[in-house]
Amino acid sequence: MVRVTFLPNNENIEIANGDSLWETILKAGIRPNSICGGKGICGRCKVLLKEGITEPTVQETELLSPEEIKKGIRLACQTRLYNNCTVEILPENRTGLQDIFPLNRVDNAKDFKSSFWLDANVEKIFLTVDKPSLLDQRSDWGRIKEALVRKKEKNLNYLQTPLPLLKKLPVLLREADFIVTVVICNGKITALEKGDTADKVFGMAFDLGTTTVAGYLIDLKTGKEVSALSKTNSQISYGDNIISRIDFTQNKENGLAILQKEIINTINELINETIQNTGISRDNIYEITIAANTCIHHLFLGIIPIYLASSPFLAAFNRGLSLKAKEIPALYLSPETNIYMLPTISAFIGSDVLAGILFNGMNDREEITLLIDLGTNGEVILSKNGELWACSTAAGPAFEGIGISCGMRAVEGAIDRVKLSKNTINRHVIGNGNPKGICGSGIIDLVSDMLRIGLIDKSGRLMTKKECPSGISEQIKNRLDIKSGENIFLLVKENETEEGKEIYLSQKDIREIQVAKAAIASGIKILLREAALETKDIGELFLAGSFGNFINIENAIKIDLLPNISLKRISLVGNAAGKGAELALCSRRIREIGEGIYKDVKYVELSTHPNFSKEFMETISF
Amino acid sequence: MNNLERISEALQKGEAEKITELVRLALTEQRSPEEILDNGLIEGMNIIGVKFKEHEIFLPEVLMAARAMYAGLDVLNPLLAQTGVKKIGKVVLGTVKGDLHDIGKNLVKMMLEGTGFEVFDLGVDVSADKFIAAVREHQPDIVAMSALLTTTMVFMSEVINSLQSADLRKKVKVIIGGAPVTQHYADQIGADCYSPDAATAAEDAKRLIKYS
Ligand code: B1M
Repeated sequence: MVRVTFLPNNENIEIANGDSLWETILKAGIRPNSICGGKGICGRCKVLLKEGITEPTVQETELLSPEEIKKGIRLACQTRLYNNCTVEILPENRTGLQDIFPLNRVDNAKDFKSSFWLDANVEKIFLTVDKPSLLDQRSDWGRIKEALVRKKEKNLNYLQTPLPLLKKLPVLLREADFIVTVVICNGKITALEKGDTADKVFGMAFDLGTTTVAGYLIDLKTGKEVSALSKTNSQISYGDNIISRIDFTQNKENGLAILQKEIINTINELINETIQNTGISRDNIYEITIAANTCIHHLFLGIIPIYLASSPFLAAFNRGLSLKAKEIPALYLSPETNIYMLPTISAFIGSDVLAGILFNGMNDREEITLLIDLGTNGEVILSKNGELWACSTAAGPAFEGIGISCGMRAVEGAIDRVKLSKNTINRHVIGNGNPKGICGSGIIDLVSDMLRIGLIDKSGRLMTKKECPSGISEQIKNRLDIKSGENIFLLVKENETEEGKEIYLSQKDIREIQVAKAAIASGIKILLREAALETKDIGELFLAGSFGNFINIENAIKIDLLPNISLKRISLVGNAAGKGAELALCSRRIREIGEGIYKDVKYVELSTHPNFSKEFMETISF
Repeated sequence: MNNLERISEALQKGEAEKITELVRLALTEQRSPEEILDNGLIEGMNIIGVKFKEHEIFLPEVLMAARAMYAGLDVLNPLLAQTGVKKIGKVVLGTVKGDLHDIGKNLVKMMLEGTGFEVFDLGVDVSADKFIAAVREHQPDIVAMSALLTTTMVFMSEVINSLQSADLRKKVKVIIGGAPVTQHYADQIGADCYSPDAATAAEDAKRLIKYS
C-alpha cells in the first residue's frame, strides 16, 4: 500500500503500489486540467510533489521545463506511485470545476406571450372524488375518472393508468380522504398525489455542453423560470474536447460507463442545488428536457459515441426521444419523471443547436438569419425562408485561451478587455486583481487594436521594434520585444504586477488565432455560398454561447472572425440552447416543430468540401 | 544581384509570372537547369521554409511562394528530364485513415517538392493497404504520414506494422507529423522521425536519405 497525502487539506488516500496518480486524484474528487484525458500528450495535469518525488518520464522531460522538474512538478497521468507521497494540485492546474454558478435569469413568460402559447406536457388536476358507499360501489379508479370528466368536461377514456399506480391507488385514496391531485404527462396518468398540489408543477430544462452544463427550473403553470444554474461538466478531466472523450470510451475499459456516470453526477448536483435553493420537492419535478451536443447526448444515454468521430460520422439516432428517469442509472429524480431528449441534427450538430434554432424562431423567419455558436467547434446555422443549412467548423481552443502562451479561460485573473492606442494601453482584469493571463475576449481586443495601429500587418506578422510604424509612442513601442527568438508584444511587463508575471502575445499565438478565426469564417462563407447568399444578405445574426456574449463584436468583425454587417443586425442570444430546451419543456407545439425540422436541416460536411481549403487560405489573413 | 538571386527573391514574394520570365532569362544566360533549380528555386523555398518555421510568414505566403516555385518548375522540368537530372528522392505522402485534414499535409508536400523531392500524394483518409500499394508501385525512399486527430494518429502505427509484414519496412524511412503527434509517439510506434512542421519535415527528409 502507498499513502498519498493531498495538500492543503492533508487528506490521505491509500492506494495499491504502482497505481497511477491521475486515477488517484480523480478518485479523490479533484479535477486536474487536461486536454488529452490522461494520455501524456497535453502536459496540463501538473501536480507538485512535495514528498516522494518520482523520476521524470520521457513525456515529462518533453512537456515540462527543467525548472519545473527541479521543483518537483510532474504530470499526474505519468506518475505511478511506489512510495508514500505528498501532493499539491495548485488551483491553476485544476479545471474550473467551479461551484455551481447562478445564471442570468430571464422572464420566459414574456417570450411566450409574444410567440408561443404555454402548452406543457404535464398537467395537474385537483379532484374531490365522491366518497364510496353501499349505494355507490364504483371502483376507486372509476370514481376518479368520473371526477376528472366532470372537471375537464371531456372524455378521458384514452387515459391509461400504469400498474404501479393502480397498486398504490386504494390505500392512497383513503389516506387522502378522497381529495387528490392527478398528474397527467404524455397523455398518461403518471402520479396521484394526496390533497391539492395542483400549483406545484415544475420541470427542468438542461443544456449539456462539453464544458458547461446548465439547468433551469421552470414553473410549468406559468412558464416562468424559477432558477438557473450552471456547472462545469465533470467529464472535463477526461479531456476538454469531444474527441478525447470519445477516445476514452474507445480505449478505456468501462470508459463509456465512467463518462455516463460523470454527466449524470453533474446533472444530479444541479438538481440537488436547485431543490435546495428553491425549496421545491424533487417529486414535483415531472419532466425534464435535454438539449446537448450529439456526443454528450449519446454519453448521457450510454450509447457508444465512437462512430460520431470517424468517417462517415454517424449518430446512433437523431429523432426526439421520451424516456423515464428510471431508465437512466442513478439519476436523482423520481423514477417516473419523463425525460424528453430533443432531436439532434447530425454527428456534429446536436440538439443544442436545434434548440437554438427553435429559440430564435429561425424555422419561420422570412428574413435571412444566421446563428453562430462560437466554441472549440463553431456551429453555424443559416435560414432562408424556413430553409435551413448547418455546418460545424473545428476552430480549436485558441479563443478559450488554450494553446496561447499566456492564455487562460475567462476566469478570475484573466485580462478580458484591452484597449490599445498609439500612446496608451488599458486592461481590464476579471475580479480586478492581479492579471494572471489573457482570455479570448482580451485576445480579440488586443489583436484588433494592434492591427489598427499597425503593430500587426494584414498577413498577421508582428512588427519588431525596428519596424514599428511612426507615430507610436515610446511606451507602446517598448512593448515590442523578443522572447526565445520570437517576436512578442508585452501586454503586462514584469514590473507592472506585484508577482512580476509577464503577460505577452507572441507571433505564434497570433498564428493560432488566425487559424481559429479562419476556420469559423470559412464555415460561414461556405454556408452562405451553399444558399447562394452573400454577407450583405444577412438580415439578423444571432450570436450564441457564453463566449459570444463577452466579446467586443466590433473587434471580432475587425479581425474577420464575424461577418462584416451592421452592429444593429447582431443580437446576443446567450445560452440559446438552454432557452430552446425551456421552450420544449413549456410547449408541446415547439417539440412538434423540432421533430418536424431536424431532418430537413441541410448539413454541410466541411471535411470533404471542395472549397474549404481555398476559403481557409483566403480568410486566414486579416 | 544576379538572376538566380532574383529568382529566389521573386519566389519569396510569390511572383509567379516574374519567375517564369526570370527562369527563361537565366536559361538564355547559359545557366544549367540544375543550377537554376538549386540556387534559384530551392534556395528561395529554403528561405521560405525557415521564415515559416519561425512564424515570420504564414500559410498564404507559403502558398504564394509554392505557386511561384511550380511556375518555375514548369519551365525547368522538361529540360531536367532531358538532361536526365534525377530528383533527390521519392516520398509517398498521405493523411492517415479516418482523417480528412489536408492543409498541413499539403504544406509538407510543397516543402518536400521545394527541396527537390518527387512526391506521390495519396490524399486524405489513406488506408494502410493504400500506403503499401503505393510503396510497392513507386518504391519511395520515404513514407510520410500526417494526422490531426488523436483518434486517427493510431493508424500511423498500423501503417508501420503493415510495412513490416509486407517486408517493406527496411526499404523506407518513415516520417510522421501533425498537431497531436509527438517525438515520444514516434519512438513508441517505431517511426524514424517526427517533424514538428512542414519545413523541418523537408530538412529531416533530406537528412534521412543522407543527402546534403
Ligand atoms: C509527414 O510528416 C509531417 C510533418 C509535419 C506535419 C505533417 C506531417 N502534418 C502536419 N504537419 C505539421 O506541419 C504543418 C505546418 O508546418 C502543421 O500542420 P497542421 O495541420 O497542424 O497546420 C495547418 C498548416 C493549419 N491547421 C489546420 O489545417 C487545422 C486547423 C483546425 C482549425 C481544423 C480544421 C481547419 C478543420 N477541421 Co478539424 N481542425 C482542427 C484544427 C484546430 C487548430 N487550431 O489547429 C482540429 C485538428 N480538428 C479537430 C476536429 C475534432 C475535427 N476537425 C474536423 C474537420 C475540420 C474541417 C473540415 C473544418 C477543417 C479541415 C479542412 C481540411 N481540408 O484540412 C472534423 C474531423 C474531420 C476528419 N475526419 O478529419 C472534426 C472531428 C470536427 C468537426 N466539427 O467536424 C480537432 C482535433 C481534436 C483532437 N483531440 O483530435 C482540432 C484540434 C480542433 C478542435 N476542435 O480542437 C504541422 O502539424
